[in-house]
Amino acid sequence: MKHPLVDYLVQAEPYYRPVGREIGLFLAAAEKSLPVLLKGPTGCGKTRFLEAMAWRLGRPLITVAGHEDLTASDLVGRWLFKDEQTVWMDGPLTLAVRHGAVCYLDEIVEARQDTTVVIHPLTDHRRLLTVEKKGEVLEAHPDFLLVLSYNPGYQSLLKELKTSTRQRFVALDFDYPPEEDEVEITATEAGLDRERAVLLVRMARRMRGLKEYGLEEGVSTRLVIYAGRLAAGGLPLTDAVLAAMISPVTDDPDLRRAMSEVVRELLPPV
Amino acid sequence: MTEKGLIDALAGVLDLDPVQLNSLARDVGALDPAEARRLVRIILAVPAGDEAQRRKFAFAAVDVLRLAGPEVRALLLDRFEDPAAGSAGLGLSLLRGAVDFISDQSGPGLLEAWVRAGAFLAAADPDAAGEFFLKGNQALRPLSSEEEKTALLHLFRYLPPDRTPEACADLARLAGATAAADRTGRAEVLLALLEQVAPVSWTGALSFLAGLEELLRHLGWERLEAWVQEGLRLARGAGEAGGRRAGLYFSLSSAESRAALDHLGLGQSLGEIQRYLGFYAALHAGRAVTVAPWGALSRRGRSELSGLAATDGHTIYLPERLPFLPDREEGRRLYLVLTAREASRLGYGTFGLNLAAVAGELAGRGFHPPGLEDMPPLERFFHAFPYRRLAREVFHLFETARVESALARDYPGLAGELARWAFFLDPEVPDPDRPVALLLALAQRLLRGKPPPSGVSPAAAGLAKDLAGQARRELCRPGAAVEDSARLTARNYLGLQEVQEGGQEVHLTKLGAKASRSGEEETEDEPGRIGRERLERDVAVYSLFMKPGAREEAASDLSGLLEKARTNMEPRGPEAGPVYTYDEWDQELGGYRLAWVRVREEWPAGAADDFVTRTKAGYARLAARVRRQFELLRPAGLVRKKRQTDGEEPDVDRIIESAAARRAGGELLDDVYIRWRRAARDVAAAVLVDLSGSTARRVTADKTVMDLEKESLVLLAEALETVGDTWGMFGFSGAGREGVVFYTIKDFSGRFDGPARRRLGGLSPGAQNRDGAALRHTAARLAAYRRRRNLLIMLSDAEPDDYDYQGRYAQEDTRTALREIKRQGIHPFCVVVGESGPGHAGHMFSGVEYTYVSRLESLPEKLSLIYRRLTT
Repeated sequence: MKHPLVDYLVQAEPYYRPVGREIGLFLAAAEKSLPVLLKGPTGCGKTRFLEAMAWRLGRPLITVAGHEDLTASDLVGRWLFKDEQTVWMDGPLTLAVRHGAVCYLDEIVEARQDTTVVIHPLTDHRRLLTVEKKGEVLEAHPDFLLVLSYNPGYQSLLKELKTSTRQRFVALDFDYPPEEDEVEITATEAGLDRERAVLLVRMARRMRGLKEYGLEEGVSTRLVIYAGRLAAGGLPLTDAVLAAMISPVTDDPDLRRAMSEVVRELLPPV
Repeated sequence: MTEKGLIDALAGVLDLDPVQLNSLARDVGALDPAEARRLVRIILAVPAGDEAQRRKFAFAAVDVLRLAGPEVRALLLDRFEDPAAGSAGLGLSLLRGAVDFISDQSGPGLLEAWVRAGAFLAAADPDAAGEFFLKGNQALRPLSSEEEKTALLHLFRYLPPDRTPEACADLARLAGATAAADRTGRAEVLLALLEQVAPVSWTGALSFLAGLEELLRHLGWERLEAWVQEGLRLARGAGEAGGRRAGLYFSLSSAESRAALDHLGLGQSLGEIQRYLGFYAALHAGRAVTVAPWGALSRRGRSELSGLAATDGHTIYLPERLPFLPDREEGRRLYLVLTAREASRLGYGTFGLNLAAVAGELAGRGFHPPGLEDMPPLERFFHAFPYRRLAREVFHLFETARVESALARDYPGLAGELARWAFFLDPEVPDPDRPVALLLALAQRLLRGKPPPSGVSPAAAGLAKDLAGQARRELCRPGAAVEDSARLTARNYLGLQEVQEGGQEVHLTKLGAKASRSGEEETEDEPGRIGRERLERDVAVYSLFMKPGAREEAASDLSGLLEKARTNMEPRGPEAGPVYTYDEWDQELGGYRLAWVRVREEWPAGAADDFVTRTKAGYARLAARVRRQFELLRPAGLVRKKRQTDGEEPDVDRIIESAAARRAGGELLDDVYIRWRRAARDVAAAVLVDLSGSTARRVTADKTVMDLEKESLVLLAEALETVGDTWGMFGFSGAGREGVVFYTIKDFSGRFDGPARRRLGGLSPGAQNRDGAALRHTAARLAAYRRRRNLLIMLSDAEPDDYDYQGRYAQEDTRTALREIKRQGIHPFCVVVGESGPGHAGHMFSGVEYTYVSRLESLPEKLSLIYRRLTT
């Protein structure tokens, strides 16, 4: 019988360019089965990092994206109804705990408060998951590793990660990579020449300075790469920037005009 | 009557001693006999009363007639024979003023205009006329031309009666403005415009003068006429309200006047693209930065910044308009280049100077920055030098070279633009009496790749070349930092200080000596000074790359123009507490008066005793009832929702239904779960209370409106605390449209704690109430705390009242403010404290809900009912 989590294995080595000591830190935490908190803005490479780490560890990776209506049941599992019978269906967290996988709860702050209740016992030395509805208490598989991500830049007072939760994790700080690294990442990921990658990154870094203008979520590395892919596919750079870096982050016509102006200035005159 | 007879008649009424009588007789005898007779009759006709006054009048009249020419004599005598001439006192003022005019050798035309204007005034207000006669000439002094003076005086026939006390002041203002226009040869144009505006609205004409400088910046003289005509056209179309409409138009406070200004304005204005430029600036600066017109800068700040655009490290200052570029697209491009250059000073770290890194360079030359830790590093750097201004200028030269070269390198698309607009990027034409400034300007010019003008001495050219060379070598390269500019400043400062201190003559020899020392060929005889005229002419030529026809003014006096372009209104003074500006609705105008009302925020003084506790104790039973009422509004924890497609537990009832349905051949149901949802109230409420003087009115035997309001507020506050909604409590009063005061009793984010309770207890009747502005400000405050349901509860006596805010006007504005608030998704509710009656509340609050409260006892029921209905 095939391993229940075989579909969750990372197939090929993901491209990841380390910018600090994050790899060593993560592997050390995994070694000691310590839960990990990845802090950093959207699209700066947290997910990619984790994929690369799961590949290195050779463990399956189960990802759950946090959203407003995500409840504890969504994580743990629920009874389904089939042929007038109830059938228990493990949720993603239970799957990971039972069979041993890296469980990645992305942007967990977004989820409802009751989700933290099931997470807490998994984060201390007990490593237990209580499946209340089934009356089952699961001890975590040795390969189980809990990873949360959290975006501290989010301007939502109500959705601050509780201190009692944060204090149970080893935290790794992420940010958009330094200019040189970001150029390299963009060029590699997008298959774009260095020259244009430099321009895209320079533009993105300029735009990240606009936090105080309601652009809490600046242009992410992910978006820079998207723009790079469009450009590599033959789209003029200005169009690529507009489509992948400006339009996704703002609808404000004045801001868009200003950004387009600066993009034109970055390019040599035609 | 013989001469003797005349004198006797005078002696009879004037009670003169022999010496005085002799002197008077002699003077009268010297007059033309017919005029003498007229004069005596006039003096005799002065009503008896103040004899001393009559004596003074007699002597003054004789004096004036002796001095004046025939036309003036006739004019004055005619005037005095007019029965409306008034008292001896007024006559005396007229005579004294006339002496003033005569000694200025004014012609009869001017005197006549002056007498007529005064006579017109005298009919309405003799005191004002007296002042006008005494000070009129003084007020006209700024003007040199008699025709202009006469034309101004002719305007006074349009002076409205209620304006007479200000007649003299108005004359002085008119004269001042005309004199200013005269300096540019435009007095005639201005007078012609005033002649058209004054009959429609006198105050409009005065506001027009007050805003003239701003208007000219936008329009220039050529388009001013069109703008004035538009205002007059609108006024004509407004019928009876025409005067007021014109008044608003010419004071630039109506939307239509601003629109006309924008439409007619020459070139690009900053206002239209300010927000966009703000974003653009932030992109270049790499952080938030404000873009503002020069007028926003304090006087002191302005003395330290120069050029068409500049930055102090936080704000980028730009001209309000670029009238010298009639093509708006060109203007926009120049705004962009100016903004990019200034913003990139922030981006390339000008203001982040690492002082420690240049300390050695400074100390080696005996310069020591002061150890003031809270002073920005760049300022401390400048303070290290004996002449701070010079240090600033030298640094500016170097740093600008560095920043522009980096900008052109990093933004290839901008390099061409920088070159194209180079002229406008440099500081204005320097003060020709400061050779060192000319020298720096010359270096700047060389950096732009322009050769030195031909009149410049080789010595000066050599020095400027040296400065430019240093900048090119050390600053115009990748990796150059602000510290490099600072080092170059320190290195060159002393030499330039010598130039500055040497003055013109010394400066020449020194320059020569320096240049010789540095091995360049130099002849002593060169008369070469950096000639002011040459440089200026050169600058004018320089600027001719602009489109032809765009420059007529620029070529004549470019530096003046630049100065004008960046000067704005008077700098704002320091203001206590935040001030907000709101439009006000003018029913007659059928539009808003723009930025008409200023609202200042304050915290009210607290009372020492605990009014809140006392009231609660006094109304213990009532308070308990209110609390019970409101407790019912409090949501109960989680709500169980059945029939959900997803949820925490199965909905067994639904599963059975589903199975039954399927057995019956029906569809499979999928909403078979139960979900727990948190039931939350999502309500924000603002309570606004009228604190005007009228709240001191008694409504019951022992309670004033204010008493009732305060007690209601206590109960309401308790109730709101019970429900747990977001709420804030505010009061308002003030005086005049510039002085609305908005008190925060409890902010939305604050707690209803000791200080807030004391603030509530300390509320007392204030002055006026301008309800519209207070409502608008409350809504603006609420906007930051908006919830799904938003409530604005106003407690007032439904009598908005301010100096110029009464009756229908005030009611309409209040009604409009309430409508605006509704449109913003805020539900207004008005509680009128007092008996219900035939008042205006019905009209003012039409379209919104309101209720009367005359007994406090009835308030809780009413409020909680309303509150419940509005929020659930």
